[in-house]
Amino acid sequence: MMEKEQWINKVMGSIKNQSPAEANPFLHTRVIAKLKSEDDSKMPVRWVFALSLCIAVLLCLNVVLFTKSSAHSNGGDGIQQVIAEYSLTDTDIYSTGFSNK
Amino acid sequence: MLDFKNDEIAFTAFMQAHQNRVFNAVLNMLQHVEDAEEITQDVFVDVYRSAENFRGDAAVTTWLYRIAMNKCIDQLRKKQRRQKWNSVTDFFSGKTFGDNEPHDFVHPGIIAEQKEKAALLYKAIDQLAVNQRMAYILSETENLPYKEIAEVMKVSVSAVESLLVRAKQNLRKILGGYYHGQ
Repeated sequence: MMEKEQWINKVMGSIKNQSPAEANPFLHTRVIAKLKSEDDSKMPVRWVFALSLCIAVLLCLNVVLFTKSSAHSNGGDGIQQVIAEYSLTDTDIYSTGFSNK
Repeated sequence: MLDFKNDEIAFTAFMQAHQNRVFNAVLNMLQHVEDAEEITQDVFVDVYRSAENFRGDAAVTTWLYRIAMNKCIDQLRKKQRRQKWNSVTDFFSGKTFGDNEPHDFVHPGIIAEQKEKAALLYKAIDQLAVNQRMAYILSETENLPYKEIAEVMKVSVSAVESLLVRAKQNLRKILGGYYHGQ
């Protein structure tokens, strides 16, 4: 039991007074590169604003066109005209008009 | 107030003065050289960006340790999530648990005759709760006084004391399990 306690004490003291490890000699260069790359990858605010404005305009146009087209729809007048013109009153599209009788 | 954006020479000097301190604290926390290098870089990127926010209320080293420890906590949480995910994927792929466990870590600054014992201690530290681990590392390897540890961790000095007591108790318990007679 005593031996175990002594061993634990020795293990607990094993990382004390460690000599400091040297940081990577290229740390500074890498930090500067990271700062630069993050700055370059950032889109300027002006561009972000212009892009969002374009998207908003396109969305508005879509909404306006959609509402206009649904307001002007005439409920299938065109197709009625075609039916009348060609006398297509029979709605049975599978009928061939051929009979074995 | 610090301002590195208009003074790159000052930033270089600051980095040279503090890089080893930050790297060693991060390395002791994360127990992984590549991760420690990456996090040290991130610490100084943050320092460069937020230097003007440093008001001088605490020592520069306290501020630096705080940034470094916050980054370490994020990294440890990421590692925990990755380990959980790996254990799930291992379960379905039929691998045995523990295949993804890291190899034994020993800080490069530890003398040869202590390496074996230090490896066991680091293994035990790896099992501590994050706040106990942080308090223990800052106290035992960085030799910070309780007051500074409290400032880094934003807790009271008595909280630091109790964290250290619990950390040491837990370490003794874990190490007891490693003892097989000498």
